[in-house]
Amino acid sequence: MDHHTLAEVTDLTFGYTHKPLFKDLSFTLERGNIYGLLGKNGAGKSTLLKLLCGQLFAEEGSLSVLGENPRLRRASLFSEIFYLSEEFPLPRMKSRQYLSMLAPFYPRFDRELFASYASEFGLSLDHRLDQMSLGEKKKYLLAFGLASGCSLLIMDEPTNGLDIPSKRQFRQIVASAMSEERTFVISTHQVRDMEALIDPIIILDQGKVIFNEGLDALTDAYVLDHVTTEPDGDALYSERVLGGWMVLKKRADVPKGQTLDLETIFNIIVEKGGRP
Amino acid sequence: MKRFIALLRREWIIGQRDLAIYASVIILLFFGYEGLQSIMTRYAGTPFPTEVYDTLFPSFLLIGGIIFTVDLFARDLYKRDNQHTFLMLPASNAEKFLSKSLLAAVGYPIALTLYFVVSSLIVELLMYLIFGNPIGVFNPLRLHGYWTMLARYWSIISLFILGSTVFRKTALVKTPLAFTILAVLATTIALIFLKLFVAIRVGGGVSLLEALSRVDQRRFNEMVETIRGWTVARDLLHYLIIPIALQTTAYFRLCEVEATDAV
Repeated sequence: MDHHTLAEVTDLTFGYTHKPLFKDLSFTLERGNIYGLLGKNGAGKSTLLKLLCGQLFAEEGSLSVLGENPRLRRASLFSEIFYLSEEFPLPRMKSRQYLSMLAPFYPRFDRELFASYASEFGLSLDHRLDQMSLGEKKKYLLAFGLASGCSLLIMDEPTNGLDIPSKRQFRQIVASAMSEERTFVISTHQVRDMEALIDPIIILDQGKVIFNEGLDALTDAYVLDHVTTEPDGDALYSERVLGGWMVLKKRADVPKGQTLDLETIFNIIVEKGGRP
Repeated sequence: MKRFIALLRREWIIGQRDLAIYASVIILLFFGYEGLQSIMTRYAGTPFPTEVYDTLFPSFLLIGGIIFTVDLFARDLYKRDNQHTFLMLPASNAEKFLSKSLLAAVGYPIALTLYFVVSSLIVELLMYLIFGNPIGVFNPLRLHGYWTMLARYWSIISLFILGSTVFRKTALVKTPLAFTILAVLATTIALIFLKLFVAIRVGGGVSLLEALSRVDQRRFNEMVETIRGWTVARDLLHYLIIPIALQTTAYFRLCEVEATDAV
C-alpha cells in the first residue's frame, strides 16, 4: 500500500445472520479526498463504515486502513479515526467535561481550533450534552472530530438534524478543514446538501462498489437534455419531469444541455449498474 | 502511560457525581450516628459508646465496592450512553480493562480507607466542638483483621469483575446467584466423592448423610492443617490464583464484547 492509499479493501465478504451483504467487495480510498458514500436503503453504507473503523469484522477478504487491520483495534489506529455515527447517545455531563475527558486520547487535538469551531456553530461549553438537540450534538461532535487531528473522519448522515444555516456551516467548515493528509468519508442520502462538497463518490449497490471515481469525467462527457416527446429505447437514460423528459446525452451532441447533478448521476449509475 | 492516565481520568469524570453522592451519604451517616450517640450519652446518661467507623468500614468496603465495580464495567460495556465512545476510545483492550480493574480492586479500598480517616476526623472534631466528646478517629492499622479484609475484598471483587463483564443486566444479583449454583454443584460432587470414599474404606451400604455424620469437621480441619504447606497453598489459591484466573477471564470477555456484542 503506497503513501497515497488510505484504505484498501480486497475481496471482502460480510453479512448479518439472515442477510448476506458484501461478496468479494474491493476498492481503495486515497488520501486527501472527501468521499461521498451513496447507496439505496439497506445497501450497507453504515455497515461498510463500521467495517472501516473496526466495529464490525469481515468474514473473508482483507481490509487495511492507514496500513493497519482495523480488526486488531489498535490504539494507534483509533487515534487516527474519528467516527461520527448516525445515532449517538451522549452521557449526562457538560460539554466542557466531555472535551477534557476525551481530548487527551488524541495526540494532535487542538483546543483552540475546537473553540473556534464551537463558536462558529454557536455552541456553549457549559451546556449539558444530554440536554442538547440532535443538531447541536452533531455540531459538537463534528467540532470535536475536526479538532482531533485524525487522518480519517467517517461520518454517517452528518447533515441529518442540522438546520439550513448549519448545513451551510458544515460544508464550509469541512472544506476549510481539508488537507492533503486528511480524508473524509461521508455517507449520506442528502445528496443536495453535499453536492458541492463530496468528490469522488462511491456508490454501493447489491453488495458491490459500482462506482468509485471523481465526477468530472461524467459531467464533462454528458449533459441532460430537456425534450417534450418521449425518448425512444436507445436513450442512455431518461427521467420524466414536469413538461417532458430529461434525457442523458453526450455533451458533444448537445453543447447547451443541463449539467448533471449528483442525484441524477446516482440514479443513472444505479440504473445502469455502473458508468453509462 | 499517558493514555492509561487519561483512562483513569475518564473514569473519574464519569463517576464523580455518583461518588460525590456516595461520599455524602457516608459522612451524613457518621454525623447522624455519632450525633445521636452523643445526645444519648449526654441526656440519658448511657455510657459513651465505641466509635462507629470500625463497625461500618467492612460493610462499606464490601457492599459499596461491589456496587462500584459492577457499575464501573457495566456502564461502558452494556449501557448505550457510553458504549459507542468506549468502543472507539483510542486505547488497547488491556489498558481499558486494567484501568477499571485497578480502580475497582485497588483504588476503591485505598480511597475508602482515606475517606474514612478524613471524614471521621471531621465528624469527631464537630462532635468535640458541639458535645465535647473525646476524639476517636478511624485508624485502619488498629482495625482488627484490616489486611485480611482487604485480601478477601480483592478475592470477592475479582468474582464481581467477571460477573459484570459476563452479565449484561443485573450483574449484582446474577453474579452471587451463579456463584452459589456453582458452589452447590461443587459441593454435590465433593459429597458423592466422600460417599464413595467412605464406602470403599468402611464398607458398602453407607448413605450420604451417614457418610457425612462420620466426618468430624473439627478433627478433619485439624488434620488438614497439619498437611505441610496446606495453609500456604490454600491462601495462594484463594488470594492469588483464583482472583487472577477470574480477572483474566473477565479481560477476555471484555475483548469479546468489544469485538462482537457492543456493535
